[in-house]
Amino acid sequence: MNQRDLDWAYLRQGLQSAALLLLACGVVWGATTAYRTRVTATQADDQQTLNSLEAERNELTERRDARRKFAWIFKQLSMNGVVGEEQRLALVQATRAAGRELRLPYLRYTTGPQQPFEAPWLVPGVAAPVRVSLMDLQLGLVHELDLLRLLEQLNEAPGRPEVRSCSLELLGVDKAAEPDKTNLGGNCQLAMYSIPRESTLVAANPEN
Amino acid sequence: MKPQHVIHLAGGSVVLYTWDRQSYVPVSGYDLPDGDPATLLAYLRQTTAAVVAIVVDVLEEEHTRDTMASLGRRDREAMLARKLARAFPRTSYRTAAIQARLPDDAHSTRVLLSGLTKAEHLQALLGLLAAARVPVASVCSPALLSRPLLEKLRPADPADATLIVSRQREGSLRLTFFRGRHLVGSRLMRRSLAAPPGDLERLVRQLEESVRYFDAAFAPSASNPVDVVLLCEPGIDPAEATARGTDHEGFRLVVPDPAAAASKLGLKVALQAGNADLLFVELLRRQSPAGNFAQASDRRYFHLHRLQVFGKAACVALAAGALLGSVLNVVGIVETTQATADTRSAIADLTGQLDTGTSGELAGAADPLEMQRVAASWQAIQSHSVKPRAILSLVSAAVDNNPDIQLEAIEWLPVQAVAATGDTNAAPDETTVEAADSNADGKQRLRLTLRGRVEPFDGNYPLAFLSVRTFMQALSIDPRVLSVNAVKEPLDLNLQSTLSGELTAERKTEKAGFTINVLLRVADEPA
Repeated sequence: MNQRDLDWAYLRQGLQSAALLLLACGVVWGATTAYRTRVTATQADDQQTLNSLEAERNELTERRDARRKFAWIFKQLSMNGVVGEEQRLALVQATRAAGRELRLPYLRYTTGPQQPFEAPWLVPGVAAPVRVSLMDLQLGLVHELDLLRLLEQLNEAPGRPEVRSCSLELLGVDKAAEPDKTNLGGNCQLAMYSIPRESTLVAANPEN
Repeated sequence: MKPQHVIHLAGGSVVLYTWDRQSYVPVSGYDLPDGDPATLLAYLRQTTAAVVAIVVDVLEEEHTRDTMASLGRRDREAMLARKLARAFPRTSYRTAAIQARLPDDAHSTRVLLSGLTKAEHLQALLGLLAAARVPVASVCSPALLSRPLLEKLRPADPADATLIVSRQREGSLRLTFFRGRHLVGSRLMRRSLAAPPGDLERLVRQLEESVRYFDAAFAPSASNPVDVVLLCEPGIDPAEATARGTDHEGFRLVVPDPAAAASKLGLKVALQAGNADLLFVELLRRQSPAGNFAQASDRRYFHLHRLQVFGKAACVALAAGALLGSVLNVVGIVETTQATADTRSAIADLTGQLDTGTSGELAGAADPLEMQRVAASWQAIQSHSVKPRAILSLVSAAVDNNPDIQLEAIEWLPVQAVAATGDTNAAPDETTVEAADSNADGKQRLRLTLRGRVEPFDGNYPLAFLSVRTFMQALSIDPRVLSVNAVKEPLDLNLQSTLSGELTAERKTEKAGFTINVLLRVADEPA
């Protein structure tokens, strides 16, 4: 059958009702599809909003739990001078006071520059960044217990310095210990850790 | 497509049959040559979507057997067209049927060429139908529809030749001759010439004459009989006629019972005596004819009708799909709307909770997560810090258990810290090796160095060695201790080195000194 044999009027007459039915169903389908697409998009937007609100709520819950668990220790560390700027002046003064109180024959101290503290067990993101300053002490001791007393007093000082290393040597091996004299010589290295507030870090490094 | 209407065109009349649930019934018609077809056309116009077939039962139908080489489809059709044009040059109503390969030539095929040599009435009818846009599916003749009669009604032990004889509505006789299972020819004997119903003697003579007409070389005899199937013959009892026969040994008469024959042919109604027209009309609905005389132009509206049907089917299918999609969309819309309502309710609840939560508890305080990170840092520092009191208590316990050990110096150093800060004042040989070992598992270690002497010492070196070893053993008992090594002992017993000594009256100058390295875990690390 070629195009000349086609009788469009005959075909149109036979197909008119079916075509109208198809058109009507197509219109209904198109309209419902368009409306469903719009409704689905609205639902997706609402769901996204809900997800973000749930994330916000979860974060809020997490913060609430964190505050309940860690507010006390944070407060203690802030009061002890660990959080925030390093309390170098207070530490030096505390060192001098402790040496004087323990009547150490001599006490020499040297503090180094503050630098970032890095250790494999400080995981970035989980733990806050820490800075450290090292303080070398040269001690003259009457008795070895003086070392422990000194270290315990320094451990209560602002910044709560930690002992990293120590050496203690008996001076005059063959003679008996004398009161109020230097019987032992010691060298210790203390670490003054400080944890700066994140707001100060952001202010110092605005690019981050 | 099964025809809704069948037009039976005979020599003197045209009858329109229409399908009425179980069988065809005559509904309209007109006489030839001067009858008015208006009623018939008016009836057909009422059902323009119905397909029409035409059965032409006229005298001017001729059949010719021929052979041709076995060819491909296109070549075969071209050759058949040429053969038809040569056999029936004056009519366009012609058709060909492939029958079988020749038994003695496998490369040749027998074909039957059929034509309506005089078809003015058919042509006029087709013209009227085309003008009325009636879809005509096929034009055929009783001969082209007789194959089912042969297969269903001939005897159980059929002869090689069969004559189907049927009494038509106008009183004429239609004789169709088969050899084997293939049509050879067909002829119509008009009423004035045909043997009247019940006159078997005359019928036999006409059969003999017809067999000669169909195949001049065929002579019916007892050894070469012809099965004569007599259909729709009025005025005779089928069983009696079959039993009595024709009194001619070359013709074996079979008169089927009308009801049994109809049942065999799958018809709902029994054959009507004197009206074989209806038999062929009924067969047209159930069997495809062996050929179609209609030209392509005659079947134009049939093709258009098929296009319509397929188009309607496609439209309905698509519409059904669209409707189904619409229903699914509506269901989806309802579900999504419900879900949206639930989501908005949850949003409202959450927003309320967040408004009260953020405005009250956490306002003005430091970031709790920062608190958490600060606490984590400090706890990590504390867990890796050195506890001087613990170190000194370890040493004191060992010294208390070994009163002859006098310590002169004590030093502790985190070996990981030494490696990290690169302390060049530390002992380069041993410390570096231990630092590398301690870093290997990522754990921090503490190296404790103890220097001292055995006191009192009277020159008994084995006893001094024993004291040092006992002291080392006492140190290693502590679970924090990983290893205890003597770096220097009272005497250097290394076989690769030189050992010298002196014995004088002044014993006090002798001294049993030692240096011990102890590797410790950091306080919080599990043993």
